[in-house]
Amino acid sequence: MRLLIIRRLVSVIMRSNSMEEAGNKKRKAWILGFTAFVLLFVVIPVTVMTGFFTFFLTKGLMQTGHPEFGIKLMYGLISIFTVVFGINVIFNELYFEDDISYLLPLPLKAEELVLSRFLAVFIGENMMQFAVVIAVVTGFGLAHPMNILQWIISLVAGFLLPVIPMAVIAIAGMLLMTFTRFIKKKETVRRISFAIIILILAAGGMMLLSIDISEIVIYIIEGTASNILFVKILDVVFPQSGLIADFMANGSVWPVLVFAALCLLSIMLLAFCARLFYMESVTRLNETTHVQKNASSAMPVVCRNAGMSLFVKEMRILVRTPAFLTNCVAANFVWPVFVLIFAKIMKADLGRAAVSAYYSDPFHRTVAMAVILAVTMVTAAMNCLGSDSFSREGKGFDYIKFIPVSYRLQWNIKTAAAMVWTLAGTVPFFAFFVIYSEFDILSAVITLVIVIASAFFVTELGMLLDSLNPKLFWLDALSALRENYNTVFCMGITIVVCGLLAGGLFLPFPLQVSAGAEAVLLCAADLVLYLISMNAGVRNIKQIGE
Amino acid sequence: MIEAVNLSKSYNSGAAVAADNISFTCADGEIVGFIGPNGAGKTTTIKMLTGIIRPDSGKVVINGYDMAEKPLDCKRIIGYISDNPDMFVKLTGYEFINFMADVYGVPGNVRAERIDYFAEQFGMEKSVFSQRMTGYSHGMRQKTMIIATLVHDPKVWILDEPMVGLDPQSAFNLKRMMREHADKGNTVLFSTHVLEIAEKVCDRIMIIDTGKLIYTGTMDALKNGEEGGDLEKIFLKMTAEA
Repeated sequence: MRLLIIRRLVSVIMRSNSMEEAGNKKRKAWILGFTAFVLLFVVIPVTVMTGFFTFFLTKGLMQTGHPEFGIKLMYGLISIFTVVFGINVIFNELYFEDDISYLLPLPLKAEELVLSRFLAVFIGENMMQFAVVIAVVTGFGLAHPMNILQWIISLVAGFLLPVIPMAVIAIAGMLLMTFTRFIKKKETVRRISFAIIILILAAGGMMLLSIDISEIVIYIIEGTASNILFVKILDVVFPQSGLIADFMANGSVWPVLVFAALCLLSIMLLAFCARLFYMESVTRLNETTHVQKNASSAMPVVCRNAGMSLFVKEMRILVRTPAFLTNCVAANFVWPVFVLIFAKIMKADLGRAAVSAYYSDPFHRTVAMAVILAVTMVTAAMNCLGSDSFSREGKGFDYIKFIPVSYRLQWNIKTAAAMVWTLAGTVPFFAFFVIYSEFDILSAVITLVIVIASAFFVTELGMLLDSLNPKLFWLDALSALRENYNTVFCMGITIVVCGLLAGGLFLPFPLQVSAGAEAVLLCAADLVLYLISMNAGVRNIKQIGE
Repeated sequence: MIEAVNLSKSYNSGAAVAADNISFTCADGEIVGFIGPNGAGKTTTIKMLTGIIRPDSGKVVINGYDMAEKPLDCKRIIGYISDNPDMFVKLTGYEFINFMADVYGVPGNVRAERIDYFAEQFGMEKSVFSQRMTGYSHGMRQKTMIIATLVHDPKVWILDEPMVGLDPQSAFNLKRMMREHADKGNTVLFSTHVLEIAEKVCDRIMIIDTGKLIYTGTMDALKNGEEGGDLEKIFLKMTAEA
């Protein structure tokens, strides 16, 4: 195995996934401004808060004699997120990226290919996570003094935390591809991998449903974890969390040596599996379809006006492209599961009488509205339907310019396509909620206005950001979404705006902004944003590529 | 008719000049070949003609409409085939063609007739169009792109490397269709690297190098000049001198 080759490959893969710089100075300045904004108002505050949380948690736990329990649980949760978000990315990187077809003819060993792609994903996906790890280590280290060596090793170990879960995913992916080798069509394999991801998420959801909050509290305080399924599974699946936490708390070198050995072992196992399985499983995939004898040759003539045709095209591409289907469409329907899990963990009484009585209290209703606002805005930012609306076009972006349809209409069509999915994932649930909770008519209407107006705000904001510098050079659809700064900017700004709006509902009188006033405020902001879009946004689109 | 008047375009704040004061006219009834080395400025010029990018200076006029003032009127007249057929590959061939037909407002019965005609010309089984383009070969995508572009029967054809990926029979048929289209009084402008194609098909050729138009005229006039009428040698000499 040639390390220099792997290093070169990692560099090439990472560069091909990265975003192009904006074309002109003005746009560069805007992008720099957004970067600074997100760093100042989102990344740094979240990191600092995580640090504080870890500090106080550790301080509290030190009194029980188990300072490592909090950090162990946090590392376990970070590992869960690594798995959840990593499955799709690693599958894609190993099997579905278009550049694989350029690399396969090169005289490279399977393990060189796999390790380089694995490392590229590892570095690309973990930079943001590492900021959280630094905060966690700092918070812990300030509460529970560590020597300089412990600090350094803790940070390095924190950085390497995702190695084992990611390697496990990659190995599982290769095994899956090997055992489904009778399937030749890429599309079918993609569907199967999508179904497996759903199954894993469902299993995770079921596991979380089994959690009892009082047991978790007892676990943290007393360290009696033996009867909690969730914690037991965490310990078995992610042993590295406990090892790192042990080292940080006790300074003993053995846990960290075991952790290093496990990391090395997982990488060696990955290389070994790559040598055995990768080439065989990746080379049998193809996308060439032979004309099916029984395929219909009749032309389905459905005449539509240009706008409707653009809308239908947009929807078809969203639904038929696996990366867009999972990240942009399905993402809208995931949050109710988490709400349900949260309610179950907190042992909330979901009976109608109890819910209705609870939300008859104006304060609780305001809290519900703030949550609804936050869920809608974060969902609209997370699905990135707005913030990658132009990036999604990729190399085909030029068609926007040469078809005889006005830019404004095309913009509006994209907004409509994004809104349909965001609202499909929010309005039915919130409509059900306000009816179930017996909101009065005015509160119900205000709630729905807030949902629609906030979804529009985030979508339009995302489109504006994406129009500044869309990521048009990508080889695979998932790469249009990964390392796309526009989605990060959109999420960052959304979090700040959401914080201000939700916070405004709870300010003391006379500063307090009522929900009705916020609905009006949001509608006014939508109007302003829309006017900016129709002018500056459309102008941005005209100038792309110039 | 295509009129390009003093078109200029540069990138990187003027450091890279892609088109340097280019002027030409492609008259009705004419096939014009646009040839030049890689990076000479062909695609940039074609993108300015189709409204994809705006020139730094100069103007484009299509059948009397100024691209800057009446972009939608210009675009309705043009049929543009880009050098990248990998567009909307998640759609089926029919969905893509119908989409383009909708955008240009082609009636249902007319589009069905045209698809029948083009499918025959390009030797494509229509059942292929019911399947998603992800499974198409490069050539099949190129043919589908050509059909979708020509389904609205545009007066002006602007084709960027249209022969790439086509089998010999389909390439031959496309060249014949270009001739027939021009003979009806319409305009065809296409770029190519293959000098033989330009030699056989074009009424006139334009040679571009480093953003400058270094020759505009008929094939005969060019050949009568020097090098014993060998277009390849003439081309190499001209681009070396430029």
